[in-house]
Amino acid sequence: MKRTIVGAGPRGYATVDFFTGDYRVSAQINVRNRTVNDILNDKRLSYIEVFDTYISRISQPGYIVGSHHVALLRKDTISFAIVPTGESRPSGQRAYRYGGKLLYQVFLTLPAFEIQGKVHTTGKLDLYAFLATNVDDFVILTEPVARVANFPDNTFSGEAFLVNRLLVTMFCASEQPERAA
Amino acid sequence: MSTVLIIDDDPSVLKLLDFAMSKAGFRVVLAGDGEEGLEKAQANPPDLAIVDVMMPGLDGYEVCRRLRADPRTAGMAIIVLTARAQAVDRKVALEAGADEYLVKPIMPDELIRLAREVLARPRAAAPLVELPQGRVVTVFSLRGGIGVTSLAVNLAVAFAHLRQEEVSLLDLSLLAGHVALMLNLQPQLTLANLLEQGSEAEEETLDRCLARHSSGVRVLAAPPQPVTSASGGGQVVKRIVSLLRGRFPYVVADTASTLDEVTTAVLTASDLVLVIVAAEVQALQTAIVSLPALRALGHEDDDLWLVLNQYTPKSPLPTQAAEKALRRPVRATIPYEPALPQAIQRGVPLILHQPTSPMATAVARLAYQIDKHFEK
Repeated sequence: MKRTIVGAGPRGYATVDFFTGDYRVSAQINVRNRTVNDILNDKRLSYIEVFDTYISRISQPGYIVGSHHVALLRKDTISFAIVPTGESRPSGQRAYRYGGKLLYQVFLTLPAFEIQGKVHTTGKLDLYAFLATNVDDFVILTEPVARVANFPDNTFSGEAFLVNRLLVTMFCASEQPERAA
Repeated sequence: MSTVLIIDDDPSVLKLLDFAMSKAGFRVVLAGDGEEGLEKAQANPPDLAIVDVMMPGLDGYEVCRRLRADPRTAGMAIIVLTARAQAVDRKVALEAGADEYLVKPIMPDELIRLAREVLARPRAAAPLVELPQGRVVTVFSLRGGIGVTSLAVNLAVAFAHLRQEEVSLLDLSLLAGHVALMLNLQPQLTLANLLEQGSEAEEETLDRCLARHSSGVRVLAAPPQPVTSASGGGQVVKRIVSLLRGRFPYVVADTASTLDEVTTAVLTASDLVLVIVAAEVQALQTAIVSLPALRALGHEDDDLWLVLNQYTPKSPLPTQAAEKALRRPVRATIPYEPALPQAIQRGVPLILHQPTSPMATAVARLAYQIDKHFEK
């Protein structure tokens, strides 16, 4: 049965929560036939154009301090983005694929945030390769929870995070992986 | 038939919900933004308002707050719709006065079910909006030159950010106050004008004396010329504090390094005194002799917070030494910030000038700690 969905946004748009060190920006992003992962990891663009932006300070992430129809975000200042699962993966356009059979529990820190979640790998997790030599700047975390270091009562979760590995200050992983379902 | 007011800036959402809610048997009224929604709600109060959070101009939370604050609409049911799905968003919505919270995208069936459920709940009579008394936080040290004013200014800005409301900041240094300078304000009226009026100072005059800073801080600046004799000044300050705490969630007082009539009056009226110490022997000794004086003004140990200011890893006295000497824990350590003089010179509080600097984040954390303390 076909069902009407209200507030899903225009076709081709995804709703994303972006976090910088100081701000939370909730916005729509025009993904067309790509995913948010593709756009964040597109090295040809240093900025990302977003629409219907609502801005909050990290100290008061529920309070909206500004809203603007259109904005540009500098990708290198985005600490992480909360995205739906479908938007967290690369689309079929890219040569390599996301996915893995092993799940490592990870804990990582970024300026102002600490994040827990799981990383999918096909083999043993190589921290150096994951953090330093990874092709993508934004890496996928599933079952994620972020906490603001200075305001630990403020937590954020979602289906998946895309974390800017270039801003990661510490990356810790569990010794033993779990088997992915 | 229940009346539902739908407030959303997206015409397609309005159209869809109008269709779905009308079909479900509700009488529907539509509004394209927060202002229009408030006008329609106040003209003909509906049974239920469905309010989108993200709207230009008045956001949905503010609409909820205003609906709850108006006796005509305070008792109505409110459902908030938003694309923001975090726990904190739900908390803010409920605090703003919403009964329920739905995350977009939503199914109309789900909204109709929830609307019926909310309308079926017994509703209390319109609650009276209670204005809680504001808290008075005084930043104090008998030793000068250890950053008391900088801390008071940044703390006031941090409170304004934290509460998303205006807070007030009093500069009670009668001889040479620098709060206005640090905020790049040039107020025409100051504490001197209120001291002239005496203890009968009126609220209207006080309001005119409060300079407005863009951060949300309302400043009562110190007299532009030194005031050496302020007889009755204590009574005036008592009156000012009493008026301000009825209007602002926080009143932050910056005090002179003395225990004169004015300082004593604000210390007595304070809910919390931040006793500022620097990591040096002189400041520590001054704090040791200050504490009995503060207790004599009626403060319990829990109202006197020790704050270690301008701290560097190379400071001659470690935190533990200060705690040992003063026999109480250091509640906050504010690091020394090399960029502070530059911020002062520019007239921009450090918390706005360099919000991610260690000092700014420490002050923000202190404001948060104090707010939590009062929540208890």
